[in-house]
Amino acid sequence: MNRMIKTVYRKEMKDMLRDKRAVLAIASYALGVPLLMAFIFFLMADDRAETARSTLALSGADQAPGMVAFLEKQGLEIIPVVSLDGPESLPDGADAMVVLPKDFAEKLSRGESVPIQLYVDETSRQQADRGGEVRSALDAYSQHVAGIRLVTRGVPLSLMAPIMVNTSDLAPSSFINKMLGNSLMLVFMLAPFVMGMSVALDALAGERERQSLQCLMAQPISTAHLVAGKWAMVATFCFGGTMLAVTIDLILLQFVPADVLPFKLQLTVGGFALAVAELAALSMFVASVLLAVSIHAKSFKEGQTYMSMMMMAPVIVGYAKMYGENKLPAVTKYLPIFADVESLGRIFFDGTPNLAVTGSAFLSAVVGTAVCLWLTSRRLSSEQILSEA
Amino acid sequence: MIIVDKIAKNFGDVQAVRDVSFTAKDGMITTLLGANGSGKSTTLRTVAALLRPDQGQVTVDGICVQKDPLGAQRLLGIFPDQFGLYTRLTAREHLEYYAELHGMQGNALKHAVDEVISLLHMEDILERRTEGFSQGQRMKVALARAIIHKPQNIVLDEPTRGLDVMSIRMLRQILLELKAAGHCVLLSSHVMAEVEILSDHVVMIADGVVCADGPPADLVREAGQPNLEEAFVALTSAHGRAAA
Repeated sequence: MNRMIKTVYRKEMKDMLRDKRAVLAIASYALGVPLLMAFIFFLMADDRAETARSTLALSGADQAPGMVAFLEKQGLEIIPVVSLDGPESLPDGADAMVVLPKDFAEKLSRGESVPIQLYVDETSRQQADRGGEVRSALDAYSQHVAGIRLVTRGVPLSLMAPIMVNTSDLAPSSFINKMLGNSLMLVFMLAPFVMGMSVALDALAGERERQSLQCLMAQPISTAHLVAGKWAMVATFCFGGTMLAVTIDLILLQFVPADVLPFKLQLTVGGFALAVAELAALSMFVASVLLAVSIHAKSFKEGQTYMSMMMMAPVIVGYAKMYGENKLPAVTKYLPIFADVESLGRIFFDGTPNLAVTGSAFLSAVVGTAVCLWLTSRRLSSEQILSEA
Repeated sequence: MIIVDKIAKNFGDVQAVRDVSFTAKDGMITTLLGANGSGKSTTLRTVAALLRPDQGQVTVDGICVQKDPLGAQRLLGIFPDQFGLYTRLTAREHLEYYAELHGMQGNALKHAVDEVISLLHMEDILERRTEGFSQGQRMKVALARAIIHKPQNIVLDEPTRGLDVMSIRMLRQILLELKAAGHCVLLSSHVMAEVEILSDHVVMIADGVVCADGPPADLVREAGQPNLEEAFVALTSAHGRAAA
């Protein structure tokens, strides 16, 4: 590394490592995001509980063994309870309650129609769904008994059920898993932006705000070297912070039960090395973008406004990739950020990288870095910047 | 030695400097004297290679600033109008950083830092971060930073602004020592008393044009006034009438 670049780099690193804002940004993202992901997984685990068996509290179960057997076969869990008149709430653990009249068995055997009372609690969508599930099971039992009655009277069962409906769910069962997987990639991809934002602002907008830029530019160092030294510092923060976030995420994922994880990591040693290289290239690109934004701000506060606007770009790209992937032209997967999400997703979840997409991610990072650094260097050497400094 | 030869500089429609020429010699303190907005800072920024003149040229010890800005900057020590310190760095770290930017390293760097610390009596603030420094302490760091590499030419833009009496006296003493050591000292100011005490050569600037230059006593005599302040008013007013 050129001695001048190294001098600027060392000074910038020393200065920024003492900046509480920069350190706080890294710590909050590196530790906060895994907690956020854990919360999402927790919600998903709770959501999966919806698939558990619905529980029916049945009063008078002793006089309806056939009904109990049928309902259990339908997937319901039956809890016998003592009869209650006008209950105010469902028994603990029950999703619904049925009260059978005392003459239930007698009327049923006589072939009469028996009114039964179903109690449900529709406070939440999940409870309403489970009440509906019990209602459907009871209807099915009613149909079943009706069918038996007709068969015993010589009526073919097919007359009662002219249409037999079988339902198959064609919804992409992996959609939610894929979306959460892409979310994790988006978290990795946004990390360099978050980690480098504060230091990039301080490196250029901060120089202007504290009015140290003019003195610095009067020293015998070229703008190219100055920008390179500052860029190396920002890239170090971007990459170091990103790797910290990725490492903490991957370690914590090891502690999440496999059945709770919405995706399966297929990360190989080679794949991880490739992912690290790609994140390094992404960090270099992001550092150059952050500096190109920072150079246009006269103060830290003004820079934060620009950064907030700029941050919308990768977030929009990330969400477009997550939710609208099928509607986007195929070429978009080779664009910056798109290519990174796609490439990292392949590496982490498929275990086999798509070399075309990964190569595109590297190429766009290198070209983007060169363009942004050139723009920053050009802007820094402009008289307008110095006359405003 | 710094030679400014017929420089002009525009910012859009604003003509900041129209025609400024002077020579700041070694072993002398040369002062640009002018009202706010007269073109002093623009002239000094041109000398420091921060601005490119639209016309004319500046040479520092024979090096053309426009052709070789980095070469000229190596021969200059710049004391800007704003100190612009890094609040998270100590005074020592400031000095080491700027010394390294001038290519110093190893023992030479250490020796230079020790020397400037001794010269400016900075021992008590050396290891402290500059956050919370008084104006006088900030001035010391900024001046030490400007002379750490022992430049032959030192450029100071309104160096006494915001300083208390004791700091001004100390700065004045240091500038006189630099002059005695044969350095070329070029500064800008609009504080008449300070200019009169310090300067060997005064360049009066009004509306981006040099309206008079010479030793302070000669300018007072030429204007037929009792002191430099009255001479400045008379000479710049005469220039304004002539321009009109």
